[in-house]
Parts: sequence; structure tokens; C-alpha cells
Amino acid sequence: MAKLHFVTGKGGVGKSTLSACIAQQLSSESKGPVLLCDILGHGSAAHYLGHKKVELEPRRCFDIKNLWVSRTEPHAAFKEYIGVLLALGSSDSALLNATSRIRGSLTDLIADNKIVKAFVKACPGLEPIVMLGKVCWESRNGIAPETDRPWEHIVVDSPASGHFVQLFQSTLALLKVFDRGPIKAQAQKIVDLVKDRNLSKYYLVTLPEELPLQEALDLNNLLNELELPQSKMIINKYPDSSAFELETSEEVSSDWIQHLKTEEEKWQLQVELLSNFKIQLGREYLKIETVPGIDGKAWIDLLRTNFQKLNLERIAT
Amino acid sequence: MSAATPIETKLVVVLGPGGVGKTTTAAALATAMAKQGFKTVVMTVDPARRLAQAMGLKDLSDEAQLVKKYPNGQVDALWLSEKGALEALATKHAPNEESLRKMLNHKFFRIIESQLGGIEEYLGIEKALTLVNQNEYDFCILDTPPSQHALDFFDSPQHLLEFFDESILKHFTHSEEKKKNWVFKAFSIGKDKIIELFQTLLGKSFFNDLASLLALLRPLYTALKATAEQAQSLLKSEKCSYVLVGVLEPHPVDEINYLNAMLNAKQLSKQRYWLANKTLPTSPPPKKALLTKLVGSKRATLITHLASQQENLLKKIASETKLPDASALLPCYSIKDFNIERLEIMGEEAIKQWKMKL
Repeated sequence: MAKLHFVTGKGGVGKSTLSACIAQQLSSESKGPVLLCDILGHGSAAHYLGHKKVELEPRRCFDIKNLWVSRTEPHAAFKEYIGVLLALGSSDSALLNATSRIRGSLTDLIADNKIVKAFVKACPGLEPIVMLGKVCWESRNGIAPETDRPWEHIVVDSPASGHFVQLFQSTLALLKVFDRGPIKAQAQKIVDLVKDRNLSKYYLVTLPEELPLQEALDLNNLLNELELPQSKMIINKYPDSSAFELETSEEVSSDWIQHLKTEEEKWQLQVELLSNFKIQLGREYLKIETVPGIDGKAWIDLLRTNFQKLNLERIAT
Repeated sequence: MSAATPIETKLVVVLGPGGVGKTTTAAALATAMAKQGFKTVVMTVDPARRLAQAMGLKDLSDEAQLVKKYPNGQVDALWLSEKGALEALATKHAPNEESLRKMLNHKFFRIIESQLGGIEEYLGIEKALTLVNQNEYDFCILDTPPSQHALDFFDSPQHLLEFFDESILKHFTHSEEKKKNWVFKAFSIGKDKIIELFQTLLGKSFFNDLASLLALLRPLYTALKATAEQAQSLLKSEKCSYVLVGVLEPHPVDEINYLNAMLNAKQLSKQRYWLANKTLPTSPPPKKALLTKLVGSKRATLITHLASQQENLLKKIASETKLPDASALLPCYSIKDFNIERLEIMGEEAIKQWKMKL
């Protein structure tokens, strides 16, 4: 079974950059192949690694050893799920019966069918279950293309906070309302995997600003309520916390003095916000400092030094 | 404005990536316009505590509340609630009490509500449309909710329509009717197979429960469709203008460019303004050695880098991009004493730089 690493946070906090970074770090630490999968997105995490076109099928991330990238969306995941059921057969006799009767034309029917699309969207919990189900299936059965090696890690660049929680909430809620059928069994498998402390890891990314910090705390509480394993909190763009006091200087123009004053206030506010945040969170967080002048792949290489502190290999084993 | 002059409400839609200060900008514009003698309302989703305090907002309410009166103008605020959006939609458009009660008590209602995206955006558009039709305000400033892509806002009516699409819903809700009609039957063999598959996957009683909820929701479609069409024509009309807000960093600038191109592609109103928020002074920054002495070396490096990045981006915007001509650069305003007067200053500064005609 591959270990799952879910990365989430409010929109615009740097989720995708950090997903890319975690995936690259894992691929350098581990022997087996690593998959970086974007759920419900366009694969922006892989873009940061220089891999522009991300497909539904895992593709080798061209110059990084051991790393594959893919994306997924509900309709495709649903088609694949039905395909797996048809290919493997099923222990459920009613299902086997139904699928064998409708087999031939079924794949055509499902492909780009408006009704199927609408139904996957409308049916409570079906979208979350096929999306999480896809990730869990990769963890259990997925093999890196052109090799015969199963995934060792899967990094999931996940939707923003609210949508992320809803993926899990719906799956849990539906375990209670489904009466029977293969989907219920699927939901149970997902829940077992995502609650497993040894197999599923969660990373919450946030920024040292009022709304993102509040949202990170809310998200942390929601994940606790869902009884998911405790997450790693990551503060992106962590401010330089060394004390400083701005002296006025006649050599500096008034607009810049004004600007530096507001920056000073901002830094002070951030320190205050972060100390409150730490008390409310009740545990340590990882700090990612802004390093000016670099971006893209160089930035990710640099971020990785931060992740050595996270000790991903230890988390992974 | 004298009471005798008939008012025609104009809509200002504020767009941009997350975290750039969209909500603050929307509030600032509404406040500055009110100070100049207009009656304005700002509609926002989930403002930061500091902004809510600055505007004196306490309770969530989807009724307009007075923020400040000026000698000739007035600014109101309307806070769109994020929670219970499908319930709000159902309450508004359910055909009668009985069917509303059935919808709200249905065991799948809350689950569908939590997974159906775009309702908040839709409710924002719908409320804006109502306010524009009432013609009680001179300007209605609509702050768009944070979402993965700012354009989700425009697509939300269409997404919802797809969900409630009658031609799809009826396949799940009228299977009895279908059996009697042989023409229908001939066309829907494939569809019946799909339904059979879903019934097997999910269990029959689950499927029937779902079908009963979808049947209850069907009447919402007509209301949604009418609103979506009206909203489309409002967003294209001269009554509507767009404010694109960003910060001068590579990614947000790309996003603003993309957004503007999409507004063109959707043939939306050409009355557009863009705003760079939280900018550094455009004069050359102090020498690095001096900066280091003032703020320490790490911060000095950061500021020097940001200043040169900003300079490059401004050059790039001037030469390569097709952003609207009306542009404004706002500085980083002090966080201390963040109050309504600060919002007035921000808004007035933007309006002045844009040379916006009110």
C-alpha cells in the first residue's frame, strides 16, 4: 500500500508549490515510485516542477527520478471505477448480473454522457467517493507505468479547505445512508484508509495573515472532528521574526519611510497573530520563510531544505 | 442626489485572485462614492474581522444595513451568508410551503447542499440583480467570493442550471411515465441501462430517495433559468462595470491578465478598471546598505527584491499586456487605526487615478 499525503489549505496560500516540494522530496528519499496527483485541478503542482501538460494517466515527470504526475476529475474517475468493476468482476452477484447484461454498450454510454455527468454531480457523496476512491485504488493497486513497481507514496494536491473537508464529510455521512451495494463497500474502504495514521498524512498550508490563519484553525478542528490523523501545519511566507525598530533617516525619501513604517506594523501584527495561533493550535508548526529572488524549480529545491526538518522519511515509515 | 431624480442603479463587480484585498477594495469604493454624494451598497461574503469592525458590522444579515450617512450620500452593507445557500435558494423559489418543508426535511438535502458548488456565487448575482432592478441605489458594489478561479463567479448560473437541468432530472424522476410512452421508451433504452446500473451500485432504496429529492427540486429550475438569463444581459450591459484587483507579483498579474481576456471572450461590458493593491513606492528604494541598517539584512534583501520585481512587472504591463487603460496603484496602508476614514481615502485615491466618471 502506498502512503497518502494530502496537502490542503485556503486558496492562494501555496498548496500546489508545497505539494510539488513534498513530492520531490519524497521521490529523492524513497526507493519506490512516487505519484503527484492533483484532484479536481489542472495539475498546477506539476507545473512548478516544469512539467506543463498533466494528463489523467500518470506520466513520468521528465527530469525527476522516481516521480510521476497525474490529475483526476469526477467523471473520468467514475468511468475508471466502472471499468475496474467490469474488468475484475465482482463478488456482488446482483451487480455482476446487471453489468453483464449492459456490458457491451456501457463504456460508450458512460463516455461523455450528459446524464452520467449530471448524476455523478447530483448524487450525494458519489463525487467524493469516486475522487477519494481513485486515490485509494492507486494506493492499493496502482503501478507506475512502464515499470512493475507499485507506488510507494502518493502526494495529493487537494482542493481548498471547505471542499476538502466536504470530500471526507460526504463519504462518512454516506456510510450511514447507503443501504447496500458496492458503493457502500467502497466508502468503507476509503474511510479505513484515510483514518489510518500509518498510511495517511495531512499537511495544512497557511499564511501569517488574519483570515488564512483563522481558516487553518477551523480546518484543523474539522479534521479532528472527522477523526482523521493529526495534520502537519505549514506556515508559508513566514516573517523574519528578529526584532527591529525603525529609525528615521534623512537619506530616505518620505514615501519609503512611510512604506517601511507600515511594513514594520505589519510584521508586528504577524508576530502577534502567530503567537496567538500557536496557543490555539497547541502544537508546533513548520515555517517556510520567503526567500527573495528565486522562483520556479530553484524555489522548490530551496524549500526542500525546509522539508528535511519535517523528516518525511520518518513520517513515511 | 435629490429625491426627484430617478435613480438608475449601476453595478460594479470586483474581481481578482484570493488574498489581494478584493473585499477591502469593494468597501473602499462604496464608501468613497457615498462620500461624494451617492447612495451605495457593498455586497460581500465573509469579510475579515478587521474590515467588519471598520464598517461597524456586527451581525450577519442579508438585509442591507446602514454603515455611514454623509451630507448627501449613504453607504450600506449587505453580508451574504455562505452557509445554508441551497436552503436560501429553496426558500425563495419553492412552489409552496408543503414542498419546501419536504425538501428541507429530506435526508439528502444537507449532503447535496454541501457538495453543490456555485450557489453562493449564484445568490450574489441574484441579489445584485434584485438591487439593480429596484433602482434604490446609485451604485451596487459586488465583491465576488473567493474561489479557485475568479471566473467561477460568472459560470455559476450555468453550472447550477446544468445540475437542475430538467431534461436530465426527468430521467431520474419520471420512470413510470416513460414506460407508458413507447416513443420515449425507444429513445431512452440506453438511459434506462444507466439508471439500472446506478440502482445496482447504490441500492434501490437509496436511488428512489434521491429521485424523490430531485423531483422536489425540479421547480427551482425555472426560477434559476430566468435569473441566469437576466444576469447574463446585466453583466454585458453598460450598467455594469468591472474592477480587477491584484498585487504586483508575477502570479496575480498573470491571473488578472487572464481574467481580463476572459471578460473580452465573454463579451462583457468594456467599462473596466484595474487596481494594483499594496504596492511599494515607485521611487527608487534606499540603497541596500542603508536599508540593511534600517530593517536588518533579511528584510532589506526582501524589500530590494520586491522593489525590482515591481518595477519589472510595471514595465511588462505597460508594454506586453492589454489591461484596461484606467489603472490605479494603491500603497500599503497602515493596519493601525483601520477605520472607515481609511476606506474613504483608499476609494477616493482609486477613483481619482482611474479618472472614473461618477
